[in-house]
Amino acid sequence: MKVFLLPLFMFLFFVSQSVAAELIPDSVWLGNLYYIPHWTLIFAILIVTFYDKEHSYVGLLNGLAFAFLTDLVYTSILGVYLLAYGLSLYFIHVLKRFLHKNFFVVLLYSIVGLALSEVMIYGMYFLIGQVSLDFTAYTFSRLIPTILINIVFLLIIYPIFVKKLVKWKHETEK
Amino acid sequence: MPAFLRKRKLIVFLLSFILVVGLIGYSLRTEDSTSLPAQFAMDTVGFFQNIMHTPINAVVEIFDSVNDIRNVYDQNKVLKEELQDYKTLAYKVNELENENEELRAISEIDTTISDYESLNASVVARSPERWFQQVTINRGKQHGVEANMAVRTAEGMVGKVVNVSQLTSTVQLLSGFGTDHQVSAIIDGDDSVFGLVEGYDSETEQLVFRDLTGDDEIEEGQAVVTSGLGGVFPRGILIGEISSVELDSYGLTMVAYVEPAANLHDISQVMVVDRDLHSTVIDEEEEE
Repeated sequence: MKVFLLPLFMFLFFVSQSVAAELIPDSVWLGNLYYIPHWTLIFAILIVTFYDKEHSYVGLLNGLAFAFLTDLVYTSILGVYLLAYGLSLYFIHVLKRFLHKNFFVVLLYSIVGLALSEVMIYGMYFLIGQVSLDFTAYTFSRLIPTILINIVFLLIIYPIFVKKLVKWKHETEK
Repeated sequence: MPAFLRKRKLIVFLLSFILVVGLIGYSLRTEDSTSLPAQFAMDTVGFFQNIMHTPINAVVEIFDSVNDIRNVYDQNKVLKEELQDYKTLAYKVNELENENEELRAISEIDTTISDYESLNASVVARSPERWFQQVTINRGKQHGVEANMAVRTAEGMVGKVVNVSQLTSTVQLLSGFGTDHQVSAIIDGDDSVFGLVEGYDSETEQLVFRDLTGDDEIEEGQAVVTSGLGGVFPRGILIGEISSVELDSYGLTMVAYVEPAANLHDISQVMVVDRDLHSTVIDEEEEE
């Protein structure tokens, strides 16, 4: 049952982030600031920290599946999101062993994960020639707004999902 | 045992890394058609985007219409004045159209590259990855959309169709055009100036129009329209207005910066444009 529930929520966030990008009106884009919703990544980070055990990879696999869908549906180059999400989620999976599970640690994970994957995505598109923005301009116009907007999303879903994820985890242990 | 595990992890890691890099390389090749699994994924996602988009859009529209009501009085004043001119203009257009038809009948031209049929569609989603300026519309192959068709709003051209699946399609906006998507364009009313819209300057939010004729006849304020010579777009769709003209970095051709006529940030209703007179390349493909 839970096996299907998590991807269902992932899919919900996956679809809603594109609809949100279309419906947020022009004035909110704040001039040249761009922010990219990485809601599936945030939810995958929550799964990794609160649902996954030491040797299970539910969050990582979910993240990979939806990263591939993002590549397929929203961009014209396959594999960039796959690599970026995969590496940053695995990094968090390793990091998880050394830190406690509380809100501030999740905040740290999210910032690290977002920065890591955003910079990797930027780096790969830069290598391919898809973008030609220099790194300083990129940092101020995209990286920082993106991290901030996704942290806001984390603040909203954290209280809703954390207890449920922990509960589901204990249910699977029985 | 842990040593073996670590080794296995490393192999999995390296293999997937190679796989992903291969995937990137594979998808960099320009493909004309979208594969069946990709079409299926796009349609499924598009279906749910449609479901989610409709109620949220309704709420957003209520807020918009409250905003509109505030401005109605001022707009009404301006519109009444413009209506006076409009009547004479409409009469003139009517007369010119009749004359045009008669002349065409005399010279036996059936269809020209200016004729097109349009198909209405609504935008259901925008690519959240903003390096790619793409939107999804709720019309696909089943409704007659094909790759490379021009897409416009009432104000002007917004982009072209890049991926078509059965029920939805992906539109590349003008703001994401690079050297691989160029639009052949002319200055309105002056056929001698011919060039390409070949990119978008994201800092000034303007399109880059390169004049290939080398004449110095471009002026600020002139309208840039599609030329129809690219083979797929019809002639005469407004792209934008020239805001500044410069010599290019080699000093050989003129480069004009064009303010797009359509608002590329806030698009909700679009028209997919199907030219009546197909180019030979497309007709051949259809026969196959």
